[in-house]
Amino acid sequence: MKSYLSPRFRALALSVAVVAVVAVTAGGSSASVRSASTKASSPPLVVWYDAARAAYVSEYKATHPHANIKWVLYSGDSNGDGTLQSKFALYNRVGWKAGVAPDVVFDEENYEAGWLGEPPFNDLLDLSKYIPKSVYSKDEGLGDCMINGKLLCLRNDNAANVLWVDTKLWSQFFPNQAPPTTWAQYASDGQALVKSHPGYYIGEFGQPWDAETYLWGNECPLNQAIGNSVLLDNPNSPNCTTIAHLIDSARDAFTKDGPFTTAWVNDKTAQHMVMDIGAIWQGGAIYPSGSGSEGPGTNVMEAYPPPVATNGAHVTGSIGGGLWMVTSHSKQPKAAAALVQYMVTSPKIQANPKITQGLPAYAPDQDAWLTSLDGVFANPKATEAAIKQAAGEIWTGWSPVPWSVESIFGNSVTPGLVAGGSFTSALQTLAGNIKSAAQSAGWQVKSKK
Amino acid sequence: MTLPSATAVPGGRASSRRGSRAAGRERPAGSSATAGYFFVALYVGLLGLLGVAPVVYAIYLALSNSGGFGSSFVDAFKDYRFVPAFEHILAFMLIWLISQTILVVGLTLMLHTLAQRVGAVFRFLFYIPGALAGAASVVVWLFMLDPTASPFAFVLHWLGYAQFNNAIAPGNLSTIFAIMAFWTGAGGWIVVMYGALNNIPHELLESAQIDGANAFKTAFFIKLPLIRKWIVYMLVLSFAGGTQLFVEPTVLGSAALGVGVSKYWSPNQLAWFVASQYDNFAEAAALSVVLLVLGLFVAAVLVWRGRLFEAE
Repeated sequence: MKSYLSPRFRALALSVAVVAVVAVTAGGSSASVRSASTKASSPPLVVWYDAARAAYVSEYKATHPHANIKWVLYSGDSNGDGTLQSKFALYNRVGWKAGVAPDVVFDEENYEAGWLGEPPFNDLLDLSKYIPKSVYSKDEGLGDCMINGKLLCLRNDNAANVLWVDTKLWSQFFPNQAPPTTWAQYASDGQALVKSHPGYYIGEFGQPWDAETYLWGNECPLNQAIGNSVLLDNPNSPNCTTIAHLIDSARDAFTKDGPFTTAWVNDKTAQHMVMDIGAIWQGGAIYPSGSGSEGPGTNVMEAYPPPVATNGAHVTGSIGGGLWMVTSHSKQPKAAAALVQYMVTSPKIQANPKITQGLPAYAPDQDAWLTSLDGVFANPKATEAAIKQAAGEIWTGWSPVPWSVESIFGNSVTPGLVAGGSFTSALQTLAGNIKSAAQSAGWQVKSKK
Repeated sequence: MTLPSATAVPGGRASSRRGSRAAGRERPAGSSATAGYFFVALYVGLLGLLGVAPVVYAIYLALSNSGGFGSSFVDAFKDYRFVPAFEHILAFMLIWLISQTILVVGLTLMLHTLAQRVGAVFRFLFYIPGALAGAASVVVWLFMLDPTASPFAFVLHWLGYAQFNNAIAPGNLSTIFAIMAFWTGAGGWIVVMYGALNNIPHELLESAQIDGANAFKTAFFIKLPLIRKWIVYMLVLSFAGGTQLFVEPTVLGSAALGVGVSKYWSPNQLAWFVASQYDNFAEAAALSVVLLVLGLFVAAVLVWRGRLFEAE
């Protein structure tokens, strides 16, 4: 390789290359800078929403054509990706500039009001001063929002878990028998299914949200705030050990593939689910036929009330859903709170299943939304009743905290479970990791009340 | 991660290089010296802005914690995620640096015995995977590691992995990231090493041949000692890049939907995590300073032991 360039030209080329490399490296970090809207004299209200809430935005724009709002689409913090925490941490350093930093935020993670509204963040507004109690008291699932006496968010939809049953498979495999009403029956049906019809399932196991399905749904005190920054974390409680033992007794009746994996679609797993404990929204999200989900069709799916806890309590867990929050730095807290109230309560948004996919958290909108399910699921009246019942049974002892149990479960527990470990032994691992995360966040951890 | 593509390739055959050097020496100081200062000043300016200033700021942040002088370092060392993160990175570095050094040097020495044209084809082939750097390479590996989608599914099944989650089990991660890093970087380093081998004077190799050295002896006793500095150079850059591993575990973790790969798998990720998720910039800065000290220390040892800056 002989060089034909003069040394000086080579030096120039090299410097240009160095500058280019540096420019590219520096440019990467400024990609998220947004241009501020300058058309109005007063800064606009900044609202961050996720893709699933796009229909809310169109509806709001149609009914409020003159509102001065800057809509910003973002990830919604889906799967706890931490977008909000990282942006808030940066705004806390550079200042919350009106018209640039968000006033209103939609968050898909139902525990995050306890993260962003508490120290060291303290970035959420107490909405109880701006929204009448007569309104927010009808918003179900406020356990995620009412934290240390402050109302830090409103729940958008109720994501209580129900027992989804494929009525066609059920009547084929379990003729003359009703679906289970207790966890013990659920497990024994699973054992029977493994023997008679291997390859069919009673649920998923090994997903990051398993704790919210099986532990939350059985009053297991693994993540229970019992005071200001005090956590009860007791894996030896019978409420935890009994359910783990029952799940272990029927492990082969659970698919290890999650509903959002390629394996789930490739194996048509949705068509092999005889039943599944899942959130209300999963009925319409996982079981439709055709398209990407390859489900059996929602018309064969019926919702049943979730199994009664092993201690006899009528409770259930909750997966996902979403929160509307107002930042405490907003210069227009009244307008921001009014927008949140409209989004959560307006029948135009919440009673319309084309706009709101899960059961509205706001009770007065629920009946209209439920009626719209007629013709979607099997036995619509029974399904609607089961959904309504589950919506009121969410256990409030699984607390909104500044760490992600889903994340801890996925990283520290799932690998062992996928490799064939038992849920019973995983309980200790999970509890230990929750304890470390809590202590690291400055919490006191107790194993007894 | 630091890529060798951003580094200068030792140029030309020995004769032409020596020629240009001689020409440079003959050139009178004057105008070319001014241009030299100008370009060096440009570089020094950018180095100060994007290299030194962030370091100074990190040290300032790490020491100005409200908990008292140096408390952010105590926080970092006491963090329950600190030791696992460094264990992960240590295992990754051992696998990656050893395999990269042996394979890159071995392959280059073999390539150098081939005819020029054949060697060029192979160098190009080895370089291709390097075009898929960072996030792009992770996306490719996501498919490679998923038994339900991979073209090498039979290998994964043979290893006993029926699911993506089995393949990315925590015990496998250091190896997986080492394989990714190897394919991203090895091709570029082979080009660099090949350039270094081309710098060895022909007369030297010819006289070795006349003295009866076969291809193996020439490679081992003549060529290898002469490219030692380039191997040390590769180790210094790779070590600094490797301890800063961030993109690969982050992208793999989010693609696995939160299963298996934690958000604080590597020390650099841990620094990002405590800063962005817990608003604790002091501890993050302390972690960065620890990484910097580690990188500087290893670089100093390698430079000193490898006599990298000694004049020929």
